[in-house]
Amino acid sequence: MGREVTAEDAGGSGQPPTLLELDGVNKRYGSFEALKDVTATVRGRVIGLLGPNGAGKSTLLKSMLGLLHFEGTARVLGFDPRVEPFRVRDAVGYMPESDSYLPSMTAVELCTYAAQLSGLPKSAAIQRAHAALYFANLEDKRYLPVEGYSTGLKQRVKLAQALVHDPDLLFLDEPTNGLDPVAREEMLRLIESLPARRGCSVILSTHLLPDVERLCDHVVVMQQGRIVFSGTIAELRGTESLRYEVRVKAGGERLAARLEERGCTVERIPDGLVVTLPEGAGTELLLKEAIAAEVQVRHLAPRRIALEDAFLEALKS
Amino acid sequence: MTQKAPFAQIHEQGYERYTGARSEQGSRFWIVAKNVASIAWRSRWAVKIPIVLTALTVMALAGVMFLSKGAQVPQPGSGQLVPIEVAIILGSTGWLTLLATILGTALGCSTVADDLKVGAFQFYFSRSLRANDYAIGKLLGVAAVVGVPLLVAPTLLALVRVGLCKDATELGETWAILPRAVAWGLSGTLTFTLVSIGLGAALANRRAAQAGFLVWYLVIGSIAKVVAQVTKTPEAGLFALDANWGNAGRLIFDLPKDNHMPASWQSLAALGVLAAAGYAGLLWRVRGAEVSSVGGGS
Repeated sequence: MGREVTAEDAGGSGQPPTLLELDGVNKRYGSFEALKDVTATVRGRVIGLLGPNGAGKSTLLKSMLGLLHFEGTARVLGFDPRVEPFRVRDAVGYMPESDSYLPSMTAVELCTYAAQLSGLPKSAAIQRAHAALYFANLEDKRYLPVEGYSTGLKQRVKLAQALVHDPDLLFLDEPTNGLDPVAREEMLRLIESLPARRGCSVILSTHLLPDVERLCDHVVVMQQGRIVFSGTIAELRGTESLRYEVRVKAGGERLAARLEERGCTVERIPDGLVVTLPEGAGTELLLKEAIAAEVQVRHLAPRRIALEDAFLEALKS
Repeated sequence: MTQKAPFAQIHEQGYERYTGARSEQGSRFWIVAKNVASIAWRSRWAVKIPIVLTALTVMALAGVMFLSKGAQVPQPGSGQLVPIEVAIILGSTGWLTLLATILGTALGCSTVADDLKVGAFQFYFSRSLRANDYAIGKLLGVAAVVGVPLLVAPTLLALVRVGLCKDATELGETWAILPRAVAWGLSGTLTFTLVSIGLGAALANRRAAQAGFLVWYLVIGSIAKVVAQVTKTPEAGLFALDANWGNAGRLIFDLPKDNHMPASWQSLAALGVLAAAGYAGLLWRVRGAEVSSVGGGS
């Protein structure tokens, strides 16, 4: 009897699973340090792996699949990739960025073959190939050769072949690359539904911050072989919960001065103020000072930092 | 009691998460091998035609063997009289190697080169498949096809001859043809398989490998044989794949060597060296690709 995935497991209210535990991971190619003392514990259901080219994302990925030797200690879903690389690969599905199919095979054959290579018996492999293709919305195209597919369909086959052996964790490498808006939306919807419908976690390596913002509950930002940030998107945005945009009818300067006296940081913008409240303070402080300054507040809303800005800030820091 | 939310089910079609046993790591090369052979048979006329021609050849030669049983014929190159069945098996070298060359060109040269081209290595090596199992699986898959003319055909002919024996005495004199045919077939199959796969893997380009393999067999091999004969330098014949296999057959069937070829053991050694070089080319490419193919891009 298989493990039943509960609503909590599927990304509901339960504790998110620990996906990666990295402690002092180093990888050198000659004199070039591709990973430098990478230490992090990555938990969550959908994790964004961000970083510019050459940041070390691929090296980290290969190391975690047990394809590269590295120094330090690491565990993927509790398995040590250096000692048990094949157990890691049985528990992990990988959707590559570039084309990855075998000529002269239909989608069903490809997925069945993929499942068999992961150790599933043929009957189970065939069943799961159909289920994975159904999940990827390819049920009507599954008997056609993959080389004739459009880019969007090929991406979906790549997702299906990564899922077919029932992995607990999926590495998705730029899954929306090269897709038109409709296909992109469909792919994002599929990825979004993975934890609930398939019971697996996702590590999403991408350049597209809107995708990360939409899908991910946690992000890991890498630069020059180091993890420069690991946490929730809200944490990446930093002081977001303390920043507010305020518009007043008149007396904006008066309010700004009072707020600054109270320890707030006030930034003047053309049609109002952006106020960063001190730690522990809430909007009541802001409203109290507005009353005291006899200023009419016409607009008060949390000020969202664009994820792009937060990402760039993380890289700078 | 309330119904569970639909997302509590992993697969909409009612499948549960797979938690059963997985196949042994060491047995997964069979999956690769079966895939190579089945896709080859299904999708390539260049595979089907030589196999059908091999079947026709075996039937025709078996007929000749039946009709001329007990006859002795002079062996080309040495003039020694040999039983007709041995002459038929060794005499089919040129035709069978031509068919094997077509199969090696169509399948052997392309099997790894195509995988490199379409990014299949990341498909394979992001899974729990060892590089050696991939390599062995590819070899066995191609060998199963290339071996049809080089191993199955001589073995069937030997079986026909053994089957034609009238009594135990004749069987006792004849049975040795069977293991000899198998050994000879294995040596040819291994060489043609490894050389064609290794060439495709090393060049990483199907067309270049196919051109190279054909030019080697048809042009370089033919020139080598002519040079060996005309200039009386038998060592030149070591460059001809088919001549080496035929000459190695003489050693295996305990016959004198071809006068225009070097010693039979040298031909057998040449086949071994070529096979080893092919395997080295394959492993070199596969080991490198195992690490470099996964990841990148983003």
